[in-house]
Amino acid sequence: MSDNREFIDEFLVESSENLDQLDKDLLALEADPADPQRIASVFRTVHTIKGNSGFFGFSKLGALAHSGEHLLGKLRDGKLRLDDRVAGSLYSMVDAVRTILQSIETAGNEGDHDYRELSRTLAAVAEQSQPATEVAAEPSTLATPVEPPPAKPAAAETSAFEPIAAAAPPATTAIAAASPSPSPPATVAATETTVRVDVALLASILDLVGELVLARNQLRSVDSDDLAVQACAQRINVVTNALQETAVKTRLQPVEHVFSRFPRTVRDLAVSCGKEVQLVIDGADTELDRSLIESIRDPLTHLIRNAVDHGIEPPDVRAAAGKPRAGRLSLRAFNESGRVTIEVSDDGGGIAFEKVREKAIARGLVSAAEAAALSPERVLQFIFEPGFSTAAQVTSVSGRGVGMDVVRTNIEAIGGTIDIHSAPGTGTTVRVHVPLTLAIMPALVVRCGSERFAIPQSAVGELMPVSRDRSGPRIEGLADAPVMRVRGRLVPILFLDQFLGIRETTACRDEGTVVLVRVDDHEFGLVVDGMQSGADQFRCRDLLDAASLSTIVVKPIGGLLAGLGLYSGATVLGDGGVVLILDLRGLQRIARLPPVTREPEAALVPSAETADRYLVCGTPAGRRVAVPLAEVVRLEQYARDKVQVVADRAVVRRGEGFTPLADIDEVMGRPPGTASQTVSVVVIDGGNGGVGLAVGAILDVLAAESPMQPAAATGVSGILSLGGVATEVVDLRAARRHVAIEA
Amino acid sequence: MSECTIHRCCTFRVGEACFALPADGVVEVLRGGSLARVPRAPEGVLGLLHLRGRIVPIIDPAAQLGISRVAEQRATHLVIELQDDWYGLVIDEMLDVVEIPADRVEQATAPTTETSGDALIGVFAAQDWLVHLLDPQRMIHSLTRLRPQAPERQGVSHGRP
Repeated sequence: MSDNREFIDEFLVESSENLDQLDKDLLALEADPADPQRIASVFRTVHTIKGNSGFFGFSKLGALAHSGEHLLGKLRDGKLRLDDRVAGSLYSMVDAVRTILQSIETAGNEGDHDYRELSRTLAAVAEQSQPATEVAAEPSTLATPVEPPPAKPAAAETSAFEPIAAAAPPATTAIAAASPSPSPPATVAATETTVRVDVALLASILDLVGELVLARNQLRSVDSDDLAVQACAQRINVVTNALQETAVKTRLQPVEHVFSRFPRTVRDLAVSCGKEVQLVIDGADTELDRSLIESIRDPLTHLIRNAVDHGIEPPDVRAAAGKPRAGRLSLRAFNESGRVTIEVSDDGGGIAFEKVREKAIARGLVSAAEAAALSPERVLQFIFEPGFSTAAQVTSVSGRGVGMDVVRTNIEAIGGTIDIHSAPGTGTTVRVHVPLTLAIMPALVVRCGSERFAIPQSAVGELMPVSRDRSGPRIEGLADAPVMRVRGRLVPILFLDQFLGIRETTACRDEGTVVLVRVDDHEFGLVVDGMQSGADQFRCRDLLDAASLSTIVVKPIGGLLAGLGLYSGATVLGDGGVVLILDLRGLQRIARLPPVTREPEAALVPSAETADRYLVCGTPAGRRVAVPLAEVVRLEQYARDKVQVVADRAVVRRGEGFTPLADIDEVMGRPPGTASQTVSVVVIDGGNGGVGLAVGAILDVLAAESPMQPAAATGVSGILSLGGVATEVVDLRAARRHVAIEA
Repeated sequence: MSECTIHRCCTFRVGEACFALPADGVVEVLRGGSLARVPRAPEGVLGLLHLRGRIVPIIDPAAQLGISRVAEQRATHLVIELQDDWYGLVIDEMLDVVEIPADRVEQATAPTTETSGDALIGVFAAQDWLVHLLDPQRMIHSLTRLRPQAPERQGVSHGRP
């Protein structure tokens, strides 16, 4: 048996492709049961499987295929019509064959399951409505050669494994070889012009091309007056570029590989849910990196399940709503600004925002007051909350979103993003954006000390200089929690040199560049010395177009270093230097940066003056309060045990001096709330070290939406509407009095 | 000692001791090359080297083998393959490829050898020296348990007023 291993592997690969084709053909047959070419194609496929399983001694598979073939013979000869029952039994057979093949692949045998019952069912279906003559499906009256001789030399033509195929048993289905093919002509052409190549071989070609590129770069730097050498170098340059481009393309595969299973999935789901669904697939030839193709299969299947199960209404409901009985599910793939977008959209009932909102409140994700102010788009985001929809009743009420957090996690793991749009009554659209490839990507190469690092460009938002004076953005806050104010947002800052131990103390504090990066929903600033090009002073975004953006080939660094969680890979730059690629998600996690939610850009560019903007905080006791942003000096975070009590006053040590702390709840005349492990401190002006307001959590920076209403409560200077919620504004004079700085 | 029947081994010298690794796992032997530093890498990982399209971590096995010596700037790298990954070991001198019959390998008892760690499979007495047989997998994996070079620093003052 082990001698046969190669043949068996080839048999498995081909059979699996044939089964996909079989699914397609059966679906087409259901639409047009009389298509003789489809029947012939299905028959051939099953016959080939039967023949091969006989050769390899897979008796269960053989018996099953035989029963299927018998039934298909009846169909082919017109003795039976393809109805639901026949189609259902044929699908069961395809599934069973697939199961056996999987078992052969993984376990090396056919598995323990007994398929005799299924064989009997197939036989029974075949005998049903059987005329008196029981003739085996032999001489065909059809024009097409339905049964090519098993050992056709076509094997050698259709397979790249020529030496194997030549000696091989009939391990080919010869679909392509059969003349008027039932498949679209493109399939025939594709089979004839493609070869199978081992993925490892392609990978090594790509590696070698990378080497060539390096050698080319070195060649270019060689000074030579010899014209012949120059001309030669130029030619090598051109060819290398073209070769690199071509080699990269070998990694791409059409998304068809994932899409091809979906018609069957949708059909089965529709039947089991009692829905009528029309699936429209568009852009299946859009190409994506091979390694990503598999990664999107599960998330997409999930989205499709959701759409059929929860999105599209039952036919009667649709009819009552004036829609066609059959729901329309559209699956579209297309290229968009260097990425691939895959869109799953249905014309079903849409997502019930109110239900999602209620559920979010019930789960404590948001307070009722806050929820009321949220836009429908924002409400939809709750669907992606972990565990939001795992409870059974959520499925039935929210109508959508089983395991959407898992879908999002999977998509983000490959550097993709997902967004969702829904309109009540008219349907839901989910768009998944994934990079074309993970192997090659544009990256920003930054300098830090004597090292260089690459940052994936997709994560880079903008670049900003760190300035000493007040003209530009400044890094504020203390050791543990430096932040930077960017157009009203406070963004946590990570000094790369210090964090990676490149330098003992950071040299970047007053000079250098902040690279603002996004990870998932959060953003942070990475302080580096500058860009690779050496342009330290820059005009923000202009620099992104400059030479420091390189297209890098991502290479794995092995488990030893990947386990650090700091680097996602490495690359070799044009000068031959090896540069590590920063794993931003890992940096954020390991540096324990406070998560600051990135707000949509539209909300970030307010024309309002800082004077009208407020820092919104939650207090430990659970109140929502605001501090005028203009008064805020910086934000800090301390471990609870850093807070000392000196002469009845709570203080935190800060450099040489102390910052007195005022508990926000006490300032406002309430008993203090429960203490947490860390203390978030809003530092306002006052005295030498400022005054710290110990708050529960920093929530947001918002513009006032109403004039301030006076309020009589202790420690409250007024009330105004922030983010649609009435919020108390802290009386800072009272706060200073509280720590006895102001009398 | 029969669980690994060693046929051909590459022997090399680190410090004063002689070691052996299975020859079929050896990719190549290189001299020098400039390494890219890996901040916060585990101790013993000196940096990365680019070799034929691959990024190879360069490892100094000395500490792990209980040998104190400083790796030379342009040392010799013995590149081995382990589960599709390549690793470069900094060695002092490449010796021979030798055939070692499995039944002549003796179980190493830690105190009698100058090496430490669980990477040592056994000892083989060659004509005039002791050859220490190493298990490459255990050797690489024990590195991941070592502490990182640069501990996480927090709270370093930035000196802003």
